[in-house]
Amino acid sequence: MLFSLSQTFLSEHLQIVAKAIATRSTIPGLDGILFECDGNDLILTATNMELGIQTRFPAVHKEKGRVVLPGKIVDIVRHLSAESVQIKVNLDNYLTEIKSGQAEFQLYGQNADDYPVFPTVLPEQKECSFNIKSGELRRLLRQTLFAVSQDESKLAFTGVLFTLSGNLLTLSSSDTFRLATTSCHVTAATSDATFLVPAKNLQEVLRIFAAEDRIIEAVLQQNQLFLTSGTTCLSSRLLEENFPDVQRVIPQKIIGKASINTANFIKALERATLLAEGTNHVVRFSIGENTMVIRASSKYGKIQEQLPISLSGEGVEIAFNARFLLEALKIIESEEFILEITGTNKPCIIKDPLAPGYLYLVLPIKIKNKLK
Amino acid sequence: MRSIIHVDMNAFFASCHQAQNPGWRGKPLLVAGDPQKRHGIILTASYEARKYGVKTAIPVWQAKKLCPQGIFVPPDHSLYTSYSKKIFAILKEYTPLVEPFSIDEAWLDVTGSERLFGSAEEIGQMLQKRIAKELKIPCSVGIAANKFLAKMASERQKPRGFTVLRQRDIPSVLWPLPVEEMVGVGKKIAPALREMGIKTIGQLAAMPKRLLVSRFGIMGEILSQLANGIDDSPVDPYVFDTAKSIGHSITLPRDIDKPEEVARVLLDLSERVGRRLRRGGYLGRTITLTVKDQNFVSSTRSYTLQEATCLTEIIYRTALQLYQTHFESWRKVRLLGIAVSKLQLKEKGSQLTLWADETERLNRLTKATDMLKDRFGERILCRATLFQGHQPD
Repeated sequence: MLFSLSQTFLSEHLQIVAKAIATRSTIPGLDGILFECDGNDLILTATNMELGIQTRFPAVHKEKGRVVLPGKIVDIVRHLSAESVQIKVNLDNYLTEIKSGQAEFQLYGQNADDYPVFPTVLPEQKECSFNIKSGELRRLLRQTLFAVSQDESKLAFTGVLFTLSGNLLTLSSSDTFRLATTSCHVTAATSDATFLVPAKNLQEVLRIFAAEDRIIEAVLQQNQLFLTSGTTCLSSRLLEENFPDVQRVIPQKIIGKASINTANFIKALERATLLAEGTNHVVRFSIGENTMVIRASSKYGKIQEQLPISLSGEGVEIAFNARFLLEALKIIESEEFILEITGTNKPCIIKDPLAPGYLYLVLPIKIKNKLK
Repeated sequence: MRSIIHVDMNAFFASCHQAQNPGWRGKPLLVAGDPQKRHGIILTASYEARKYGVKTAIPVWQAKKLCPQGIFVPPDHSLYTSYSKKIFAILKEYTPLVEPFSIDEAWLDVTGSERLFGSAEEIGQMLQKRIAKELKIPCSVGIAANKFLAKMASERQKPRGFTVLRQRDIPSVLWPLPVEEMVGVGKKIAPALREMGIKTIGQLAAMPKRLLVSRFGIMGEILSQLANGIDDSPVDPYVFDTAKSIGHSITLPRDIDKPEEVARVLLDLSERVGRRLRRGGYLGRTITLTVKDQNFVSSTRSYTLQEATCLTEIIYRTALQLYQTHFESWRKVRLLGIAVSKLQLKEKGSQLTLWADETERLNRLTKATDMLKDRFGERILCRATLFQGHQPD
């Protein structure tokens, strides 16, 4: 097995698959990358059984073959400074020579026969498929990924819920303290479906499918989600957990609606957080007709700040974990955002006029309603 | 230079019984668990009984053989607590800086009290006399410039010892002692020190610090300092106010292996721990389960929750999960323990959660049952699963 190609090109593709390399695995070879030459293309594969990434591209090569090279290959290729790289594998003992400029590496490769087969999309086994623009998918993910739970004991909440109904795809995520939900239209949807995808695999989607205007084909098959764009394919295992009913917790009755300047509010919140108390960063808000008063206090002192707003309907005295607000506000695109009020010790809803399908619901910190 | 006094009651449990019953004074008295149950071991023997070779932790039958005329009494913890309170009240007359080490031991920093009450030696003697006269409890007193040396001093002479350990006495008094007698050297470290050829505290003091650090980590650093008589730790009167963990364990009357029996004991323990957490206004994140099996092999496993809790149900579920994941069901269980750590004080506001109908319900239920228990006593109500095996005690 022998091939040569440009260092930057190979390095780029190695970086793409690198994130799926298993860090702790009992299966031999999973801590490496599978290299395959099939006569036309070079195919790189990495999988940790939860997440798999495969990418293929044409490479000048003379011999077919397969080998698993240690994960170190990623760094090795990245550090090469000559323009082209030549890789030569002795298929008898998998000793691999990497030559680039004056540098010569010898790596101990492994037999690829034990490497798990990368699941392939089979047209007859497709349960559901649809096409989505990479820019749209990236937006949906940015609007939901931050709200997932980091708590492995609440497994369902470590994933993002995908609900496909007709041509409308809705993504929802929650850590039980807040809930983010957003949607967009997709094309070529075959059937309705609901599935839960681990958030950490979706982080890789953001990284891999960076271009904004490519079409990503999504396929659901045998408890796996496949996302394919061009010559790169990502497969993620789905979470077999029940995600609770999202619609049930979205309040229907809004008692007040405030329009607030996004940038000013973020700055004021960040100031208040400096003195916010405890691990849940308690910041109190008195929302009145034309102003909102933001207060925070801790053993170090207190802060109070007034912010002009425009309110229709009733105001409220309420407290939130400042972090939960800040994380949501940082993805608001509009100059002014909408805060919908449902009552004391009841959730608020944040909406972005520039992102119609987006809704962020955040639960308050319980307070005794006493105006100071 | 500080003046630290360490006060250590002699044979405290036995002394309390003797103080309360004048007829028992001067006689061999043994505090022992119920011989019928597993706790049939000697908890404390009075000094009169120790003359017959009775030691703490030997079985009752053996103690009876050694000291047939001994008076055997069951433990009475409320008695010990009441004496302990009286003792601490006396100690606090001399300085507010009293750090309890256990129910019957404390450090006093009297550096600032010497102008009021006399030198540390005089205060120490006064304390010893007053506790003996007013409460009829003997104690040993150690005086030195830091906590470690003060404790080492009070250990020198028992009962009714009075030892002053000065900096200049370190080579002659401290260093010849075997390392096992050093405070901070336990069952685990002592053999390791022996392996390194360290037999006395002096040898430990002479050992290059880096060797101890490479072998014991941070503990090596501390050991090296202590052995040289250096201890900067302050006398902290609030040491028990900021709990690090809250736990309960129980040695079962007989070994059990049925999952439902284990579950029942875990539920009982969870309730006790939960109740103490809630009473102290604590929430904890890490749940630790300790299991000792029929061969006295004990193992500990813990799990850290994302959110701190004080709810019996959550503690129970986590402990049960730990048991089911980590302990083979063929192992018979002799002791079970649950502890909750990574404690934080309950904050005034609590973050509300979505789909939290269950937690909300549990919170309300717990509040109600706690209120009933506070008002009518712990036995006013209990869980039905615990009721079956419940015996009035």
